[in-house]
Amino acid sequence: MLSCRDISRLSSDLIDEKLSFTMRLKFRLHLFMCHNCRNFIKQMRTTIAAVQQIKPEQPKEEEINQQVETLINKTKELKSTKYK
Amino acid sequence: MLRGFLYTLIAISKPESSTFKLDYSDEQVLIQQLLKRDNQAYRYAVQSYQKSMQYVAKSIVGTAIADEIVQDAWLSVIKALPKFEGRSSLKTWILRIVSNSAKSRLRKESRQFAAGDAADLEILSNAPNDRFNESGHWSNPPKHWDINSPEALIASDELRDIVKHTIEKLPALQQSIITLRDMECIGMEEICKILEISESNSRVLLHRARTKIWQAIDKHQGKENVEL
Repeated sequence: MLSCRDISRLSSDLIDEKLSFTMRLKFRLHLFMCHNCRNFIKQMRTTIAAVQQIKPEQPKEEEINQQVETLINKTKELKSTKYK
Repeated sequence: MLRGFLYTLIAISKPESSTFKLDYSDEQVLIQQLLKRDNQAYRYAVQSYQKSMQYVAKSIVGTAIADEIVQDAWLSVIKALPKFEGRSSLKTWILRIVSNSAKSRLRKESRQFAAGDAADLEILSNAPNDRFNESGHWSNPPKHWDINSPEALIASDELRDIVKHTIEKLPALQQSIITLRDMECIGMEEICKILEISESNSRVLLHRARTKIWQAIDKHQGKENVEL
């Protein structure tokens, strides 16, 4: 019988469908009886789906400008050393 | 080879007029323009890939020299781009270059672990179990959440900031894995290759990261309920 701690530990594997058939059955049995774990799994699903909807962070405009400038200069250097 | 030739043909046949707007989100267009050393293509690539590159570098060499690694990696990307065969996405290919640069730097300095690794491994061996009692039942069960859909969660400025802030504060490896897996949808197998960690470890780290975000939201939701 899985404990609530096991349910918490295996929740990502359940949500990502990485659990075996037997494990899924044990999981379902526990969830059927445990309100707190049902609540937890629902909240974990919401959390993961929310993270998936957040757009990845982008660098600041200043950082982009600086990096692009470095790239342009470095590639110019590459060109000039290539044709020397 | 044939594929490369076809893309070159397509690129040549495209009008070069100033009114023609290139769609850099099309990977083939981006590659062609990067090969032509187009400044706008550089800008698009930096905007799209720089953060992920920093996450990968940080998780391997630590924060101190991550930026240096990313700088070196960009140059390697530009140099090696003519040889890119398209076996993976451009992003995955770039992240592998970052990973290789970071690892070779570690080898040069004869270091085994980066700062981020040590913190992550410690967390692996000391899983936070403070919400359970000795028999494994909840001692501090999940609170009632007023917000129950991911859309509503993201729509709340406060909760979105909590999620982002928690991700920023994660140890480097966890931050790298959750960003690449959940936000950028890169396959786990690919992530394991990029970061050179086993699938079982990466799954544990992904779970730790997700749990911390859940805990942060749960804490906030609990406060809201008390205030009500």
